[in-house]
Parts: sequence; C-alpha cells; structure tokens
Amino acid sequence: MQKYEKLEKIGEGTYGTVFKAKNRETHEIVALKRVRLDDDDEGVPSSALREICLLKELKHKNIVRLYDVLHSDKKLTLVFEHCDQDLKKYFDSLNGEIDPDIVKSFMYQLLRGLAFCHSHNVLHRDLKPQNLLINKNGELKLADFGLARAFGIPVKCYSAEVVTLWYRPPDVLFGAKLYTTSIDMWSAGCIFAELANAGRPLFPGSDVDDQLKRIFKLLGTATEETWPGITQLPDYKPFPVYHPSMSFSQVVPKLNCKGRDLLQRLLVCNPPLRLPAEDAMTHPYFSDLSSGIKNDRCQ
Amino acid sequence: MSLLNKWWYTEYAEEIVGTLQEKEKQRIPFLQQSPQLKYRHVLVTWMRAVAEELNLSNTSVHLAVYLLDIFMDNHRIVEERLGLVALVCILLAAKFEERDANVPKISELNSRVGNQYPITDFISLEFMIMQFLHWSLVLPTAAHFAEYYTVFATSSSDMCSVPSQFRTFKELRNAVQHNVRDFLDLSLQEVCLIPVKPSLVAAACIAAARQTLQLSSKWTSILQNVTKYQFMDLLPCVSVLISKNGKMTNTAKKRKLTESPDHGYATEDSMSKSPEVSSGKWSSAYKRNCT
Repeated sequence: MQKYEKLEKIGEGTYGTVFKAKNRETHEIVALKRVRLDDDDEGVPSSALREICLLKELKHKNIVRLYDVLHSDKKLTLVFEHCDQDLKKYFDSLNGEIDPDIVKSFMYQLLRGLAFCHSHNVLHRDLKPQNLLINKNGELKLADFGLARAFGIPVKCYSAEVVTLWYRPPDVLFGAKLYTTSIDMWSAGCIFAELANAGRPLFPGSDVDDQLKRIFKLLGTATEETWPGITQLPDYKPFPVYHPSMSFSQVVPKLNCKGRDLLQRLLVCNPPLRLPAEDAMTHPYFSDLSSGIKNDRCQ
Repeated sequence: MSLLNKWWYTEYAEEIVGTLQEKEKQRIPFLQQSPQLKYRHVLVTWMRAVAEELNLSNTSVHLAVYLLDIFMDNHRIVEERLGLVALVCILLAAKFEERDANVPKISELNSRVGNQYPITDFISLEFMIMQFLHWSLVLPTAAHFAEYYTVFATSSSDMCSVPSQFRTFKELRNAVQHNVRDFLDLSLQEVCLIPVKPSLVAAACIAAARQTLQLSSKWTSILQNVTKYQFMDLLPCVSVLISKNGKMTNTAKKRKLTESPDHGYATEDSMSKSPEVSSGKWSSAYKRNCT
C-alpha cells in the first residue's frame, strides 16, 4: 500500500469504500476500492471475487479498467482507473439542460460497453447512473461489477434480487428467476430516457407495485397477448388495464423521433423482444454520431 | 432449429462460445508433474461427495477439480494439506459459479474434515491460489461447454431410426442428457483427459452418449457446426470414455438426477469420507514446482 497515497474518499461501492489516490512513483491518479474482510468465515467476498475475475476479462474503452489487486492481512484493495465523476453527479451539475449530442454520445458508449460485456458472457445486472463513470474527455465507462455474473448458455438461475428498483425490468419485478442480456437492456432504456431528460429518472417507483404501475402507465399494461407467459411468473399479479396516457414525445420531449424509436425498442416488457445492445448500436438514431466517437475502437 | 427461438438463447451465443474457446487455448499447460498425483483419484471422488452434500452445480465441481489439478501440478504440497487445497478449490469455484446463498461458509467446509485446519489457513490459501491464477476464474471446463452443446445433442431426426426403448423424443433427449452427465463425471477421473481441450472433452461426452444409446448417426451436422469438431477429432477421447464406462459397474454410474435449473450435483455412491488427512505444519506446506 506504500505505492499509493490516499487523497480523498469518493464513495461506497457494493462491498467497500472507494478512495481517490495517487501512485507515488508515476503520480497517476487511481481509484482504490477497499474490500473489507470482516467476515472470517467467508474469505474474499464472492461479489468482490466475481468483480475481479470478470473485469480481468473485460478490457474495453467503455469499461472501467482494473489495474491491480493488492492484499494484506485483513484487507483486499482493488486498483481501478480513476474517472472524474459518475453520471449521477454529472446530472446534478446540469441544471436541467443537456446537449443532445452528449446524450447520443453517452448512450452509444453505454451500448458499446454493454455489447462487449454481453458478447463475453457477462451480465452487469446493476446498471444505474451511479455505476456509469464519466471522465473529462467525455468518455463513459461501466463500473461496479459487484453484482455481475458470467452467464452460461442456457442462462442459469440466479437470485431475482438484482438491479436497483428504478432500473429493474418488469420480468424481474414479477419474480422471473431466469433472465438474460435483456435485463441490462431494460436498464439501458431507463438510463437513456434519464439522459434525454437531463437527469430526471423515468420510473422512480417507491416499491415493486408502484414501479410496475409506473411502467404500465407509460407502456400500457402487459397481458398474455403482448407478453405470452406473463401470468406464469412467480410473483405475477394482475394490474388494472392502463392505456398509455402520455406519448413518448411528452415523456422525452427533447429526444428526436429516431431517439424515441430506439427508446421504445429498449423499453419492451416482454424480455426477448427487447433490442440487444449490438443491434441498438446500429439504430438510425446514431447515424449522425460523430465518427470520432463511433470509430474510437475499443481496447 | 426451434431451439434457436428459445428465449434464453441469446443473440450472443456464438460469440460467447467463441470467447470460451479462445479462453481454453490460454490454459496453463498441465504437465502431470505433481508428486501427489497418486492421491488425485481419492481427492476428486471426495470433492464430488462434498459438492453433492452442498448441492453444488456440475460446473462448480468441474471448475474446482480443474483448480486442484492446475495448482497441484505447479506446487509441491505436503500430504496433510491436500484436503485443505481441495476444500479451498471448492470454495473458490462455488463463489464464482453459485448463487450467493449456496456458497458454503469456511466453517461448513472445515467441518467435513473434523475442523482440523485453522480458518485463517483457508483465507491464506485462497489468496495464494488466486494469485497463482492471476485472479482469473473465467476458466471454461467441459461442464461449461456441455451445458451449451447438450442443447443440440439430439434432434428430431434421431427418432427416425431410434432404438425401440424410446417411445417419445423427450425420453430419448432425457436419456442422452443423463448419459452426457455420466460421461462428464467419468471424464473427471481420467488424468489423460486433463490436458485435452475442455470443449473437445464435452463434445466427446456427447458423442459417447449417442454411441452408448446406439443412435444411428454417431455425430450430426448440427453438432459439427456447433462444436466445430468432426467425429474423427473426437474419436480418441470417445474411446477412452467408452472403454472406461464399460469397466464400471452399473451401481457406480447411477446418480440422483436433480432437474433443478442449475443442475444440482449428486451421485448415489459418492463417498462422504474425507481423504487421508491429518493436521500438519503450515510452514513450507506449498512449494512452487520448478518447471
């Protein structure tokens, strides 16, 4: 730990405190995530172990880089590339206005990072603005893989207790235990709308019921016709039939019609119909994205 | 291929298999140089038993055994510590593969060996193994590939010339799946298969299952497309599996087949005794092999 000089506390991750620090030799600024090993009966927490192993596989421009793993007697420290802020803090600094080109650029980078995860069989499972990091060059990076999983084909059954409520897809809200890359695509859709509205969350539900109600009020209540199998989900319960009272042009007024089309293809209740990240990247909405961002190839 | 329309079959299936096949090329070479190789059989049998009691998945068991193999191959381990190494391999594999609620506690593992190791020994060894692996557990095993390949192990065309004991396609498919699992299990005990690519072992398990059930075509074009192996590639491995299978008694092969989504791991005859282990000194317990 002599190698780094701790500068300030940045925040709390899934399983530990994050500090900004400076490499004493190279003066490079890094983020240190301290993993507490309090539970003697556990060893390295499985979430930390998975985050380390998965990030080792995911070397990509739009995914936060894990440089090193240090350990001493009672603690484990992960050394990450440092980013200036997360998307949540960025929103707070906006005062309700955001440049549409930035929305497009951030959304594209989010999708590119996700496509890379998904093609390397990693599900993030906890996408939200707090877990997207932004640096001064306008680069966006996926971070906090504490809930991430390597998935097989077919996808194994993992706990339904994933994804912060506001970004949780309706299938998971109804207790679906099997899910695939579509879980992240719903969250990406919610974040897209939030970006377009300069940080106003799309579905800020207070509990599972309220969350589903907000979703169905915008998209119309899902039924066996629109989503075969919905009534078989473990926690399914019927909801009143809502007909969308607001059009997408009212929900995301600043987003152009191509953008609204993309958003509607991501916010689909029936999971297999949600657009995959790779396909979303080729959506016409991005056709006028500056080639600098588009061709900025990974690695 | 109606299976391709299954909702869990992601857009990325082919890319993922490609990534896994790239990963398996980067495996640490297995040189059969562990001085404790003679204990492997009893250790693996015991690990399977422990995994059964903990209801761990097939992929956890295969990963744990691979971790044991590669760690033993590169270290000289005092005999008294082999049980501890096996338990930590199970712990690491479970942390990576299982739902959090199903990850065993260290004390739970230690109770299998009469609490003979200090808990701190588990923690130090966990670090040591992870450092040896450069903190990577994305290590595909035959069980990982088999999960995918098994989806394509049978097709409706197999029913045209099917042995009479199968009345429906479902019966046939289940029988093939059970046989694949038996052969995967069998493959764990074959030291000669450790250096073989896991994807090839998985494909060979499917070919061996089809052969055992006397399906008219040993290998289908679908399987060839999915696995990228021709039957000729698999032949040596299939021969090993089939001949080994012939030597085993029926009782030794039977297993409790749990049909949970994550394929609970269980064998009927697995031993629950611990391997020969007694307490020993920690110091210089693990020496890195000179290679």
